[in-house]
Amino acid sequence: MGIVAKNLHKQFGETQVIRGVSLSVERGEMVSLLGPSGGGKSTVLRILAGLERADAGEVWLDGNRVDHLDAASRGVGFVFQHYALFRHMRVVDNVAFGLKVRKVKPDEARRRAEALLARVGLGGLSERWPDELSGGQRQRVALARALAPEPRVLLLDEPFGALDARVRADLREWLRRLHDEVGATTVLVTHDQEEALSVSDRVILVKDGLIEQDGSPSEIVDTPRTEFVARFVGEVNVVEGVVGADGLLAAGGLSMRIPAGSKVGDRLRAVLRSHELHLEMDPRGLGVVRRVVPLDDRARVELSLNGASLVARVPRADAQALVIGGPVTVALHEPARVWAIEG
Amino acid sequence: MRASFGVWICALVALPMLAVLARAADGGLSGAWEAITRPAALHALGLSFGLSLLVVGIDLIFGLATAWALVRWDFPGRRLVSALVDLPFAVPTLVAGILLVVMLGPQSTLGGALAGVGIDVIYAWPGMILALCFVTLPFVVRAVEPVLEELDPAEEEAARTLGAGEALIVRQVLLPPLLPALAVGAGQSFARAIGEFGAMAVLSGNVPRETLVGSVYVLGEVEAGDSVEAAAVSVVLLVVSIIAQLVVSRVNQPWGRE
Amino acid sequence: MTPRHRTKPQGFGLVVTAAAILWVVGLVGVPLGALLLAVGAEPAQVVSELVQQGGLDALGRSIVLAVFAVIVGGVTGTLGGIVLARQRFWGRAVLDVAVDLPLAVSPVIVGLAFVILYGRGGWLEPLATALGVKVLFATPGLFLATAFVCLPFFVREVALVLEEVGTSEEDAARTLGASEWQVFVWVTLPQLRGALRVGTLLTVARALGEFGAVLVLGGAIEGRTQTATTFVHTMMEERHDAGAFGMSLILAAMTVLLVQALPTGARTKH
Repeated sequence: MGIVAKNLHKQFGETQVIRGVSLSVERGEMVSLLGPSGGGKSTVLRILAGLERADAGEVWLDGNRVDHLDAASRGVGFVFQHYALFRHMRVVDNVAFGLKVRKVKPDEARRRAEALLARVGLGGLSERWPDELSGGQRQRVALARALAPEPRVLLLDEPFGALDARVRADLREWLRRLHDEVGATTVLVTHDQEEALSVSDRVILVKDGLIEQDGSPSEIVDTPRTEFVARFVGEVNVVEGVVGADGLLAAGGLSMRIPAGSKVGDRLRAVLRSHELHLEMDPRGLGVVRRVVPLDDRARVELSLNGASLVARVPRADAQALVIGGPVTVALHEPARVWAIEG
Repeated sequence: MRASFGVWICALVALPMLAVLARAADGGLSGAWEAITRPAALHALGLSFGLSLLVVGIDLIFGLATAWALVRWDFPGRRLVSALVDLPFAVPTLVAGILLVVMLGPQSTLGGALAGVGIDVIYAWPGMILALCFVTLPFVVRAVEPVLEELDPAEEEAARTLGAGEALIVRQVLLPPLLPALAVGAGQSFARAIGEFGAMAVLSGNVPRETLVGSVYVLGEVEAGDSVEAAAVSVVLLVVSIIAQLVVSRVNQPWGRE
Repeated sequence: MTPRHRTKPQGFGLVVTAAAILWVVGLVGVPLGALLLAVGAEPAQVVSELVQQGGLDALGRSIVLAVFAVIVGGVTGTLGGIVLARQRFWGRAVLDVAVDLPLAVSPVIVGLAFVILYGRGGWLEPLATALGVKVLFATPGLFLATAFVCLPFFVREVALVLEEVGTSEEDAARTLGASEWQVFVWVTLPQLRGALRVGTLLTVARALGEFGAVLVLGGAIEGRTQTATTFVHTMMEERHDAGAFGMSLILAAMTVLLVQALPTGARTKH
């Protein structure tokens, strides 16, 4: 087992940031901690690295309990959101730092640093200063620096958070390829669901210091366990309604099956993922198309249905048939996920 | 680490300051009160307060004007003026006193001319005020300048497009963000002025109950061997300047440090 | 933000600008010029008084004090800056205020405080006697006074920079396996280069210019505790104006150079 954390707790002042987080990561696996900012996922990562001490709980790396070890003794690679490059060192010296600390001979350290820089695609830049690089380049240097001592575990704290969307998409594909080559056990913290879903073997959703769901990307997307997860991982419509005498929930002009334990008269909330809505032009339809936005092979359709505003994602071919202002029928591809309204 | 630094600060700062307090209390509270209210002491303290307040007032007016001129306008010698503003910060205050003596002393052309029309500058209040203005010159200017620099001219322009007159713009748009900076500059100036010694020692003439200020009075008492009297007067000056200093650090960090 | 274009002053702006120029040049520039003229009028007299009255010896002593202040301030200030910026503990707020105290205390009172502390019946008099150190009217007193008045500069500069740069570079070094000492030498110290430079300049300027405290504590004894500033004072009292003006010019010139070496904005933070 690569990383095991048991029942971590952490309090900053009066705030309970981590309230019992347990997780395990297989050796060589890549796992994302996904969730809104302030949810405690970065703190979990810093506890794994030894940069913070947990108030309670255990941390195991490769079968050894490491809670009592400081960051320097854990042999964990860490990549910071804002790069944290040593700005008074040249790029190559940044990468060689972990080797210098380990008393690797200077020319050997330099050779290995140059090789790593070439590997992350920054071959010619070793004599530059960090502030002469773009954000994406800096993050690659940070990654090369973390990888130089050949850590068994690599922890990435919002590594692409400060970069623009384009660079981000490129870097994350590149990161996944690098992971497959290097094979380090990797934990990635991010608030970007697309990033988490596209890059990792497994996604752990963290909210308010607790784990909401832990599963493969398809499990997270297809069977969200809570309303929060459903809303967090996709574009959704949220509609409220009452369970009718027919035993179906009527909400937003649609009828849905109800979860076990609900009864007639209950007020429930349904989360409809935008790609689960099916639209068809139909003069008897109750929906009205407001706007059609073309995306790659799909289109995003905004419509109104019985006074509610909904969003649907449909294939471009289907969208071609839609007329703005025209009536449509709205149907559900699959049973909606319905949750009781809290509070 | 924190313990060794704490010990260092205690030995270097806290202990000496406590020693002054303890010595002031040597003659009992009534003794300290008597020491402070002795006419010469009272006059010296009063003079220090009065001059410092006056100088802070002058600093606020001219400091604001200077900062505004430096930020807003382009004029020949702008960089020279900016460099001159910083000098009093580093020039020893004793040297500041000497500078004014050289320029305005009785032997100088200017000083002689002024004396001819009956105005004594050096060894009199006007010279003391000038000297205190010299040593406190940078504070208001440098406190206000960055704030003025950051004021978005668009705000001023927006007010103008909304039909505001110049006076209204100054009062409603420009002044409010400047107030904290003005307070900081004024506090620093006041703390510096109330404790000023070097310039006063060479240029005030040090006549008791006329031009003798608090700090020089303390020196006199030390030299006369009366450390209880000196300590009592010192405590008054200390308390006032520490309050000014605290006000500065409070205003300086409205967002707090924690 | 709309870019700021400086234009030629007009109307009310012209009046204010003219007043500002007159004020600053009149208050600082003209007196400096007057001193230059006064020294330039009788250079031979100035040099001979400087040499014969012990001016060079006093200046040398001031320079030694400045070097001492930089060494002591650099070491304790780096330590103190790290403590204040990085550590949270009971009594930190008190320490924070105490560090700034020397900026607020009149130099004469500093002198008085040490006189009381080490003088007859003072709390530390027995300690000094036991160690065989004479503090008052002797070199140790000058050192104490200088260390006191220069205390805030290094501490403040270091703490400010450390708060600005945060701990992420240090954390990165730790995750790469660096020991705390390696973190300090390879990461923290290089970050502090600018702060230490500014701290040095401010400390030198302050140490050279200190007058009240060294006068009271040292007594301005020629050849033993006379510093550059107390030399000026003694010369004025003895009516050796030329010597006083000459030394004043030297001090003014040195401090002008120090100020010019400071980055803008670092000058009046204190």
